[in-house]
Amino acid sequence: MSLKSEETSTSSDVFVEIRKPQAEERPRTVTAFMMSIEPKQCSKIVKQLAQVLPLPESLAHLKRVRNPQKMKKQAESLPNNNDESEKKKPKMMLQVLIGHDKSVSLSSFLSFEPTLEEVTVPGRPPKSDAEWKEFNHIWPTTFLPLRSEEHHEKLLALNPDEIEQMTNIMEEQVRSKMQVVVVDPTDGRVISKSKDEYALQRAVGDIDNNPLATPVLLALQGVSRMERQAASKKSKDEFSKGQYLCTGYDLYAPYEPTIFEAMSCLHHRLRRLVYWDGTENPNTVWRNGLSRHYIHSLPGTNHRYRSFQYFPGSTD
Amino acid sequence: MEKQKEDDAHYMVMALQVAKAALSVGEVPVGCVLVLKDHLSIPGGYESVVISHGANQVNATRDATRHAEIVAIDRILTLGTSSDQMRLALDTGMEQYAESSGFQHRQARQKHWEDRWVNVAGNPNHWKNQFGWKNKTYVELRSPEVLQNCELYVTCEPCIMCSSALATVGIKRVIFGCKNDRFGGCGSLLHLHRKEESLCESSANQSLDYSKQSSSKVSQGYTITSGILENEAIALLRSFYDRENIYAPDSKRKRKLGDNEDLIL
Repeated sequence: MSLKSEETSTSSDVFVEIRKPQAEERPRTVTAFMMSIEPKQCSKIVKQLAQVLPLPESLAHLKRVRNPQKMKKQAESLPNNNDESEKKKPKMMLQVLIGHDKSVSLSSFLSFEPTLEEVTVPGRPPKSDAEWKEFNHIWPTTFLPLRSEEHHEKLLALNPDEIEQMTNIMEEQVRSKMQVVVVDPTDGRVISKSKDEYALQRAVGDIDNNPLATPVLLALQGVSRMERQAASKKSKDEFSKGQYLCTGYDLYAPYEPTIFEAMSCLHHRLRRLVYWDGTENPNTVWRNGLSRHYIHSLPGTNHRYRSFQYFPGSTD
Repeated sequence: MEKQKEDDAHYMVMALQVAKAALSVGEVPVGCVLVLKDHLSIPGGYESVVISHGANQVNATRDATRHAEIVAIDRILTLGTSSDQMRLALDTGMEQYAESSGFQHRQARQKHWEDRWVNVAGNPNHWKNQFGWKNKTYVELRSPEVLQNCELYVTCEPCIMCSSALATVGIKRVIFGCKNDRFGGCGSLLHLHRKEESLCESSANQSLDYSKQSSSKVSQGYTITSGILENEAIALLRSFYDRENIYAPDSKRKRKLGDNEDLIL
């Protein structure tokens, strides 16, 4: 199956990350209600509102109070702003965001009955620093750079060294030999090969009789074999120092794993799974465990891993 | 109907016995029996026979995919090539644990530990050894096609991996005790027991390329029955999770190796 759609976010043109489509994006702006108050009342009223009428989750990214004069000054400093002619300076008032509900009763803790006005506010947290600046001209908005989508994307982006290593392994170990391998990404070492494990198991039993002995499973079992050797003190490698299953390791496959295989990788604590959609076993069921069923990122499971599809013809 | 209820309770008791044996060797206590029913291959005039059984062997094989269901299938099809034949000796790691923690583990010191995996070593007539698994007389039962006439009794709902594995081998019916809220593939998280919708029939994912899918096999699904001896299955699991998993890496433990004074295994 060839997959290059809107469901995926491109980490590189060669390795496209498989991601579950997000729930429908929240609108950029929404309508809410505010009231105007004198600055000297602000502190007390905001404290009371925080107790009695906190902002709903959908507006939690917004600050409670706006100074319209300050906003206007900011707007005037923007280029291409159609400035209005000089007007008489009005009495300074602050605007306090109430929420989405116009029918809310405020008279119980306010000494006056305010008039609620409709206002357009940012409908979601800003995705980037640039968007934050834009949003601040609409309504003062909170921005947490380390939690922004932009920052998250930067962290997830594959660097050139990673892409080179992934390409080399895909070409030299997987596509040319049509096998599944497990690799330690810290040094590019191949830890386990499905063909080696197949030969070892074939020597002791008829694994051809078992449709569950698939290349992905065999590659994972090659890692288990090393862990067993370390446990019985037959090796002195990293497994002897506490390497646990496939923690920190990447698996490369010449086909997209089924649900059975994808969940096996999750149980094995894999870090990443990279596949080339070059072959398909017609006797398996519940195929496309990653691109259709997103087993690598199921909510609630005790582990998740990243998965990528390899497009060998693409160039950066 | 009444007969099926009796059968379900009867075989679930056996699955619980297998699970208890797993608990005694430090594995998560989930057990299963694979039962062939009303089939010409059944020897000796029986209506149904247990042809394989399995318990978790995750710690013993250092392989996180060796769940009870996978072990039972591996036993009947390959005589345990990727399960029993890969197991470490029971006391492997226990001595190391005992040394590093200063904790004198009773089991680690027991050199001649009875092999509890098969439970009844030396008794070929026990139900665990009688048909299929471990019995050379019934070689014809060791075929993937036979699994399509089998029912699997398992103490806990199969996880997503096992649910799809059972669909792969074409199991007929799965009967389980308690639900598996975190990983269950037979109704809790996914519904892999249902007939699989082929990609060609799917209205979703219109951007996918269906050209290679037209001749693909799809799962025909299997029947499930849940809640059989559920409380017993839950009690067994609780008895495991109430204590420390000595095979877990130190970073995953609630209590570190140094904090062993109050460790009760």
